[in-house]
Amino acid sequence: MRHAPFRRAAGVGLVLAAAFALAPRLAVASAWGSPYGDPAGFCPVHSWLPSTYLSLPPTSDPLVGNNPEQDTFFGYHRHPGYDDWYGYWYGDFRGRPGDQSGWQLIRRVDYPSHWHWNFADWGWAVHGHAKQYVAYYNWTFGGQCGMGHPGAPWPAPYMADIDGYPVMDIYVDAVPPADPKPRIAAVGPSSISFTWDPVVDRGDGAGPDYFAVGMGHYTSWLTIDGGPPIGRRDSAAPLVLSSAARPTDIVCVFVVASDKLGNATAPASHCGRPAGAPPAPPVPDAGAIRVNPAAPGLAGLASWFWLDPVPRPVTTYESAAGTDYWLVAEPVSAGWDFGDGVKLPAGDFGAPYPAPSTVTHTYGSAAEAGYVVGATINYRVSWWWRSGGEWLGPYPLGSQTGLAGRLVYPVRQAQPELRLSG
Amino acid sequence: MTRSLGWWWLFLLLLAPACAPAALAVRVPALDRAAATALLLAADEARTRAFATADPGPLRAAFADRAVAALAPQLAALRRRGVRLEERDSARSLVHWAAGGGGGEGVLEVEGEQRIAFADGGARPWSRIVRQWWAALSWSGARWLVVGMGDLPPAQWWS
Repeated sequence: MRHAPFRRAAGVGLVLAAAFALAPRLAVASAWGSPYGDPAGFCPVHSWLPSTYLSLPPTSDPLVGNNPEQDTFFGYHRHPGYDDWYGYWYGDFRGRPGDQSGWQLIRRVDYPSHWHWNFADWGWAVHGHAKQYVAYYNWTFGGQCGMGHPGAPWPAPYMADIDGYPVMDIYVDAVPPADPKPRIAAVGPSSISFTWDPVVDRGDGAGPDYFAVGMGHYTSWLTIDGGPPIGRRDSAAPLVLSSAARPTDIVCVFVVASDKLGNATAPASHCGRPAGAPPAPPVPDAGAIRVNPAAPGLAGLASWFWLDPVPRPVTTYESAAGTDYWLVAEPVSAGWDFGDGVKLPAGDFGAPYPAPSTVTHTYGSAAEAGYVVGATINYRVSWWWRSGGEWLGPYPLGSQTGLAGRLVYPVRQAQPELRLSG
Repeated sequence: MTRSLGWWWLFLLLLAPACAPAALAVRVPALDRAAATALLLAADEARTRAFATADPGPLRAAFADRAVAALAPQLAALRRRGVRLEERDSARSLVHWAAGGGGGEGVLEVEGEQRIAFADGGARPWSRIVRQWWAALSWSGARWLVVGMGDLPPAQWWS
C-alpha cells in the first residue's frame, strides 16, 4: 500500500515517455534557419551524410543541369510501395516569385530500381533563388522519426534523402547586365576615341529571391568602314578606344557587358568619324555701354554701368570640308575701363537701370570733355559636328573678345549753393 | 630509500619539458599573399580533380587528414552512384586573404563550367557556374596544408 504513490508516478512517467516516443520529432528540420521555414513533415534524422545541406554553385542554367541530387533515388526495400519520393520547393521557382509548390510526389522507386530527377523532366525552371527538399515516404522508417506505421491515423513523416543532400539552395542568374551605352570621347582631324560608362549587373528572380551574381567584364572592339574587329579585348572596367582614321572613314565601337556567369548583352555600338575643328566664327556684336546718371555724371556720386543689350550666347552654323558644324559663343565675363585709370578686368555685364547694377564706379574729379569708358566681352566658344544624324560635342575652340562701343562720359563737380528761404 | 629516489626521478621527468630550450619549438615560416595564392590554387585544382574522378587520392598532397575526411563522404556518395562532377575552363582568382595564427584563410573565386558525368561515359550538358571556395591553411608536417574549407553561399561572398 505504501508504494501506491510511487506506482502512480511511474505510470504517469510511462505515459509521458510513450507520448514523447510517438510524437513526431520534426524540430530538427529547422536547424538551417530557412526564412521560409522547413516543410511540415520533413525529417532529416536519418540522413547518412555529416551535412544535410548544400548550396549549389550559382549557375546561369535555369534547369540546373549540374544539380548532383538529380540521380539519387534508389529503391531501398524489396517490399513494393515503400519508396515514394517527394520533392518540395519554394522560392522564385517555375518563374513565380515566392512559389511554394508543397510536397509533390516525384515517383515511386521500387527496389532495386534507380531513378533520376531534374527540373528538365518537369519543364520547370529556377529564377533567382530556390530551395529544394528531397525526401521519401516510408512506413518502415516512420517510427524512427516520430510516429508512423501502416494503419495509423496520422501520416508518417517524410524522411530526408539518405543518399545525397536532402536540402539544397539553388541560385540561378540567367539575365545579362544592363546595356552599355558607348559614346565618342574625343575627336580630331585624323583620329576618334570612344568610351562608355560602367553598367551594373541585373539579377534574376524577384523579391527576397532576387539574385544577381555580379558584373564580370566588358568585351570591346572597333571597326573601320564595317571591316574586321580591331583591338578586341576584355576588361574589368570601361576603356578609351582610339583609332587613327581619315575624315571619310566611319569608325564604330562595339561593347558587350557580361556578368560573372557569362550572361552577355547584345553588342552595343556607336559610330563616328574624325573631324577637325571648324574655323572660328565671327566675333559677336558686343553692343553699347549705358550709364546712370546719364551724362553728365557727378564727381563723388556712384555711376551705374551696363551693356546694352545684355550679352547672350550666340549660335552659328557652318559647313566646312563637307562637315556641318554648330558653334556657340557663350559670354563669360566683361572687362571694364572707366577712363580714369581704374579697370575691372573680369567683371559682370551690369544691369539696366533702374535695377541696381553690379558694375559701378565713382569718379573722384570732374572731366568736362568726358571720360572714355570701354568694355570688352569675353566669349568661350564650343563646337559640335554632325556625325550621321547626331550632333556630337561640345569640343572647346578657345575664346573670343568682343569690343563694346565706347562711351564718352562727362563728369561735373557738384557745386554747393546757398539759398535764402522765406 | 629506493622509493624516495623513485619519486625524485618522477619529479625531474615531469619538470624536464618546462626547462627545454625554446629553440626546439616548431618555427612556422611566413606565408604571404602570393604564396597563399599558389597553395590555394593548387588545393582547389586538386579538389576539382577529386570530384572529377570521385576519388580522394588527389587531395592527399594539399589537404590535412581531417579536411580529406570532410570531403570523403561526398566523394563516396558520388562513387556509389557512378557519378562524377567535372569542371572545365576554370579561371581562379584570390578574392580574400587574411594571414594570422601561423597560417591564414583565403577565398578563391572560380568561374567555369560544370557538369554531371556518368560511369557509362554519358554526361549532362555543361552549365556555367561561379563559386567561392573558402579554405584555411596551416603549417603541418613541414608543409602547408588545407585544414578546413567550404563552398560559400552567395550571401557570404567576398566582394
